[in-house]
Amino acid sequence: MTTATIHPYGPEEMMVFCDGELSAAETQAVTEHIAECAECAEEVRQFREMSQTLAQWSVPSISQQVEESVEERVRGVVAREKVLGMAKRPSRASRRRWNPWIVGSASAAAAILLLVTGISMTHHIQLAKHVSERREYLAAAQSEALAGRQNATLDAKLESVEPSAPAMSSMAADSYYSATRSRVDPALPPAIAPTAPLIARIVNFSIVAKDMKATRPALDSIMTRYHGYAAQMNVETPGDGSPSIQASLRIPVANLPAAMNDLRELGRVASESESGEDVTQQHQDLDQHLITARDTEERFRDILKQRTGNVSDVLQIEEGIARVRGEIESMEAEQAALNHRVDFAQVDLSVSEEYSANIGTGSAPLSTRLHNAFVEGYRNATGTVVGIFLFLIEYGLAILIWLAIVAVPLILLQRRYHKMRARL
Amino acid sequence: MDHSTEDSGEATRRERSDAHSSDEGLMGAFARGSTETFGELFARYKRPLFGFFCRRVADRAQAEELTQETFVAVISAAPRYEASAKFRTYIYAIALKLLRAHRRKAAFRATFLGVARENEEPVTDGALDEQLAMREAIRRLDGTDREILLLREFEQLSYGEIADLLDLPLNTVRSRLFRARMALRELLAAQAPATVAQLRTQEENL
Repeated sequence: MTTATIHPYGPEEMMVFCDGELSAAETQAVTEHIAECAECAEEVRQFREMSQTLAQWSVPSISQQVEESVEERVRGVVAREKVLGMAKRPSRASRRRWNPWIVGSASAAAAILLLVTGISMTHHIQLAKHVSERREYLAAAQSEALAGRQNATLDAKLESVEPSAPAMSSMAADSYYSATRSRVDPALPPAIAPTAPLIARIVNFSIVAKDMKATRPALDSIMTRYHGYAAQMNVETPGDGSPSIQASLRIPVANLPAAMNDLRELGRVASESESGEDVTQQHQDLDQHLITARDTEERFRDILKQRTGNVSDVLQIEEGIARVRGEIESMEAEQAALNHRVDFAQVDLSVSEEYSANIGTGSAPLSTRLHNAFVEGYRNATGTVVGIFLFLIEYGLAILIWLAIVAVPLILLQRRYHKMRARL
Repeated sequence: MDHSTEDSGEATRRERSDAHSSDEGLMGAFARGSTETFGELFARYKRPLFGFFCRRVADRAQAEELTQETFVAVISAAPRYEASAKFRTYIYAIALKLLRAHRRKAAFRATFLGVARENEEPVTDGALDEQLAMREAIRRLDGTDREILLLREFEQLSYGEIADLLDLPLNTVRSRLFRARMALRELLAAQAPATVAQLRTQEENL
């Protein structure tokens, strides 16, 4: 090739020409061009040569045996189709074929979803367990309290049988407690025998009153009538809300039922609960300690009377007496407090006023409400964002780890799959 | 036709009536319930179809099985056959579908169970080195390019038919076919010196 020949057709056209896919006019033109242009003729020759080379890829003829079996099977199918009837066959187009990768990724997604749900579920279950444990604990405490109350009623019955019995000298109580006493110390004189069960009673009252102004004087009158007193009282009258009273009252046990009846009449009882704390053991222990302490004091005094020693010895004994005396007094005070708790029931009262909507006074101006709404909205939005952020911090890493655990093998499998496909 | 000898009157009569009918005409008759016409279609297509699968799957048994499956599929789909498309395109479309399903299954099996040895070996019965080199070169072409080339060279399908089968624009078929042929030419040229050397050593041995 000495001069650059202008080829009207490129190599691709030559190929199309060889394949016989050019239009009649183009075929004519190319044929004419090839006759003149050796380069294009060579191109055409190469394409034809390649086709000839490829044509050498002969395929073994289908074996007679297989051919027959295929034919037979085909005939069999034809016969079967004929029997079944051509029209009655179910449509095969309706059968759906699922892409295994879609199925795979869908199940992976489902697994992750399950996992996340599982994590939060276990969290909730743990919470619920806590709550139920607490509930059980409370229930147990309540039943104990109930038992205490039954003891108290038993006590009351005993008292009614023997009105003069202030515990210690009561025969019934004596026999009731003889077993305990003998176990504690059989040598103890009967005078310091333990008492019948001592119950410190606590009543919780929540009352919704119609008129708060009348409630306060009514409460005071109940107190004076039943010789009770208020250990603590809190009266609240906020500007916009309803006024309320929180009080801890002490009422003599004997007057308690009547006082409670009167209290109930203050308004609607929203809730009421009673519990009793058995302080018998505490009382007994105190009694024992007191007896021992008094004995010790007695002995100290005897020593002081009978023996005369030097001044330091006397001083030491005096010191001992003073110490024991102090102990005795503190124990006596404790005993008195305990007795007081038994004699006076504790009534925790909470009185609130019934809600009554009143027009005009309560609702704030529109601007304030708008402002509040905006502030609330902002707070909610930030709360949501913070919540999402916290969730990501709390579970994000775990989710990522699980994603990696699930995704890595999947990706590896997919790669292997594509490699295998390419090889086939 | 080789099977005219095994069947006597019936077959020759059928051949006389069917031999000049088009594929579409035969298939249409079969779809309307004439079972005899299918014999002619089977005779016409068993070799090309077997060849189609032989050049695309690893072993002969699979090729035979796929050929059989294709015919079964054609029979099953007969009631829905509409003569709008050429029967040749139609049957190759079914064959391609089955081939893809087969490849997918094989790849899936290979992914999870590992490659079976016999599946890796191509059909080499009596093939010359030169032919093996050519097959290796074809194997190394891009998937779609290879398919277009094979459909053109061995199934003798026109550009339009290939475009229909593979759902590609006509121009894409043309340009990809050109690309495939150029790549194949290069691959064969690269292999040629080795082949020549092999031939020389063979001559020397003789």
